[in-house]
Amino acid sequence: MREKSRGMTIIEVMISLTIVTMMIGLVTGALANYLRMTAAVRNTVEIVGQHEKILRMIRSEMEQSSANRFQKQWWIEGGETTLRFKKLSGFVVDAGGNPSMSWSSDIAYGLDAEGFVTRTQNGVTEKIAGNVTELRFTEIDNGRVRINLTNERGNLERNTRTVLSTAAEVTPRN
Amino acid sequence: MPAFQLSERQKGSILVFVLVFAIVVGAAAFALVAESNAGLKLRQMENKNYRTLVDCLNGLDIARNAVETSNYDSDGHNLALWNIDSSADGAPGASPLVDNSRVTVTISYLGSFWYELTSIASSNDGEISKEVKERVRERDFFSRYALFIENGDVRVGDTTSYYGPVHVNKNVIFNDSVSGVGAQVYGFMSSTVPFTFNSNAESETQFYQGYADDLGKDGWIDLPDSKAVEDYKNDTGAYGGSGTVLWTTGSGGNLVELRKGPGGFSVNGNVYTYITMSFDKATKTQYIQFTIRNTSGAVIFTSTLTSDYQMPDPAILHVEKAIMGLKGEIRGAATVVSETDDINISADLYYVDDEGDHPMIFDPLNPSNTNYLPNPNYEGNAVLGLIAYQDILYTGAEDDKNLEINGAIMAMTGQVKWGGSGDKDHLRVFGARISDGQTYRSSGSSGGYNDSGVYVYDDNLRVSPPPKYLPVEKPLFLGFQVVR
Repeated sequence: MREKSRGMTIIEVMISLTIVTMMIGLVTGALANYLRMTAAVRNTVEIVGQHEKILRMIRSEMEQSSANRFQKQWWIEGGETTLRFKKLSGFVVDAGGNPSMSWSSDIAYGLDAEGFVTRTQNGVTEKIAGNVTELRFTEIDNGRVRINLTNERGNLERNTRTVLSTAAEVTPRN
Repeated sequence: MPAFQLSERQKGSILVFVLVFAIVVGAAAFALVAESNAGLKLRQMENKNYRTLVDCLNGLDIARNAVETSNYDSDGHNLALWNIDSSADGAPGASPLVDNSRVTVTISYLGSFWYELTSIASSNDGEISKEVKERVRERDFFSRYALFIENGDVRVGDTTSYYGPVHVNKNVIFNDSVSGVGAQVYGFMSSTVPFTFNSNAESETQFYQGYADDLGKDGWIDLPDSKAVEDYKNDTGAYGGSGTVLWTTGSGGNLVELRKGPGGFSVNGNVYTYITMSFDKATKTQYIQFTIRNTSGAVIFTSTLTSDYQMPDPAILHVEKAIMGLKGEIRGAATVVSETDDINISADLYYVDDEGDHPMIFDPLNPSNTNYLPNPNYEGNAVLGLIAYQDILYTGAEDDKNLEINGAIMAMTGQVKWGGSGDKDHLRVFGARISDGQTYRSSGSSGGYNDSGVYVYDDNLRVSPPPKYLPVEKPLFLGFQVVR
């Protein structure tokens, strides 16, 4: 009877603890990995959504501008960091059949010191989206502008940082 | 004694604590849910906003396609537009051009061939509505092309650069005479048959804005039915009640007249005409000088720079026979026409602004193809059209190895080509070239501009063509505007 009711040996306890520790380690590692991946995917999805929003805004306004030589209505300033333009606000045809277009006040897109893409018109500045590390405008060919946008999200030390760049081209339609 | 006992005054305080804690937790949870809902609603609103705008733009695209592919009637009207609204009454036509569950596009005639397309779309729940407008002229002008050839192939040398749209109703042939060098094509290029690439031209040619070598023919002028060159004579106003005779000689069949009207000048009769345009910066006055020779070559008239020879703006310069020499500078808008013959470009012909600056700068010492560049100091709005019933010839000045031409030049039944003698260097054209036949800048043993040819499209021609320039059966879209 005494033989059957004896407790575990120290070896058995150590083996059990080791197995349990390893299992906890594996599960914890897998969980951490899963969380990192989830964070990276979430970051990517959020950045892509943000890029779409920023580019959509700039494009829909910029397309209403003009690149015509005599009435060019957009300019790149500040070492390619600011895009300033006017968009169409009125269109009439004169008696001679010639079109005459009128233009809005200046609209400027740029990046502020806190990493926000901003839109400024008539002295009012709106913050469009944050966490942007680069917003660059480049003039290409005849009357087109290329927009380069880079975002960073997450924590470098926790290995959850995501960096994503997008480029788009806009052609003013007027 | 128990370790923890509440006094009478403290009784119920735990209940209060639990209640407060529950309220705080509940409020926090509610705030989180509310924030999440607000964020979700904001996203949904943004998406709805965007989807509605996309519907609106798609409706406009459908309308554009209907207008672009429409036929034209004998009066030059685009039937997709004209059949819906032919009255410039400030109201759209009775039926929309596009009408489906998502978007409606209506058409309103503005007058002078211009229409307004209005696209309106609403979200499914009616909460958001978007409106986009675009204007369209029924017929664009031939100056829409950097190069248009109706009835001949185009031979492209490997030191040639094209900026702006090029269309050929036949073929484009790329030559390869210099190893490792290819043509640079910066605008959209199209033809009706597949391009021909000689030797290594295919790999050496660069297309920066795409090409299509299987497109259908673009419309050409139907001479009997459209505005033909002889109409320009009347456009000068020189033969009506306001016209005056500046000089005349001969009589009957030998009558020669130089007339002026409110719209320009006209030279009528069997003579050779030489035209020099000049702009006086001090008085901001545009002059034209005529030298007229008889058919034997003798000078029979030379004008002077007096008020009689100030050019109106815009101006039509009509010459019945050949213009044997054309050169100079122009500040305003003009179209120069040879009703029955050729136009010879005898020296540089360029735009200036009030300060005398040119729109383009040419650096002949720069060997690259990008040596003809916009001048940032130019602040003018000059535009010049040349229309010859037969050929437009690059003859150039004897003492100048290079030739610069600013303007939209058109040879209605002939070619735009080299017409001088001897070997020259560089040809630079800022504007547009349109011709019935093949175009070239040199012709082997006959000389020409052998070193390079750079053709830069003047984007201003898209909006401001030369006065009375000939239209093409293609619409011109302009005035894109997101109203709300």
